[in-house]
Amino acid sequence: MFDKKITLFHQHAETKEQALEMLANRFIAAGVVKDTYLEGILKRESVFPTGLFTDTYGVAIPHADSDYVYENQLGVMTLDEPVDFNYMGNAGEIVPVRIIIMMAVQGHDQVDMLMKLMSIFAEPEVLQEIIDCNDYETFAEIAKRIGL
Amino acid sequence: MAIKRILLCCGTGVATSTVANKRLEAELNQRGYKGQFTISQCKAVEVPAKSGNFDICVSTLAMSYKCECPLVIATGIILNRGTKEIYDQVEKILWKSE
Repeated sequence: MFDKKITLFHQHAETKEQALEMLANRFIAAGVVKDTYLEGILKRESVFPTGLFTDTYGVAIPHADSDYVYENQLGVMTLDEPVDFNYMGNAGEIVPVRIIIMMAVQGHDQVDMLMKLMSIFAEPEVLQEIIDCNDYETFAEIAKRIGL
Repeated sequence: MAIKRILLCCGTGVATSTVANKRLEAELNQRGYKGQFTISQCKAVEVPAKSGNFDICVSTLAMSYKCECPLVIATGIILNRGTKEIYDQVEKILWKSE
């Protein structure tokens, strides 16, 4: 699911929009989503925010409607300083996010992958490993280990 | 006993509700309700139109749409946090409200 190697580590962004644009552009460049993917992501994020609290780092899981997606793909971005997202469970709450996992998924067939992905939010050690990641190869090892 | 109808919704109807669906199903089965419920997934925008036909709506996100049945916000299912309270609430609404 990370085979297009969309990984951006230790990045800097002023706003969530800026961070989302950096990531979405990589998906578009990889040809796995429509050219309008960024609009879809931003629209979704403004109506239904995807920020999540964990015990350590805030995580966001931006995704757009499946209409925008040609091919299933995940991308990850880590930020050295957090950017503010709104909390999925209550849009009025701010989540300072340092790990963004963008998900281009088409349908319900990805359930096992999504289950595994979302189980890491309860594992501070894994989140720390992702934060410490510097390159795709290290990340790929983590992803492989947890079954992504 | 009538089969309880659960509507599970998230923003796009494919990602978080899919995960919540699996986890909720597993938990309710474990609590002894296997075969006594069905779960349907939808997008949050569909809730006003669909929720009237369900016994409960479980949403992974905060809902601003009109919901025609009891609503439980269950972001915790995604995070594996506070899940007991969420499942207790679902169980109470569906099977312990009489």
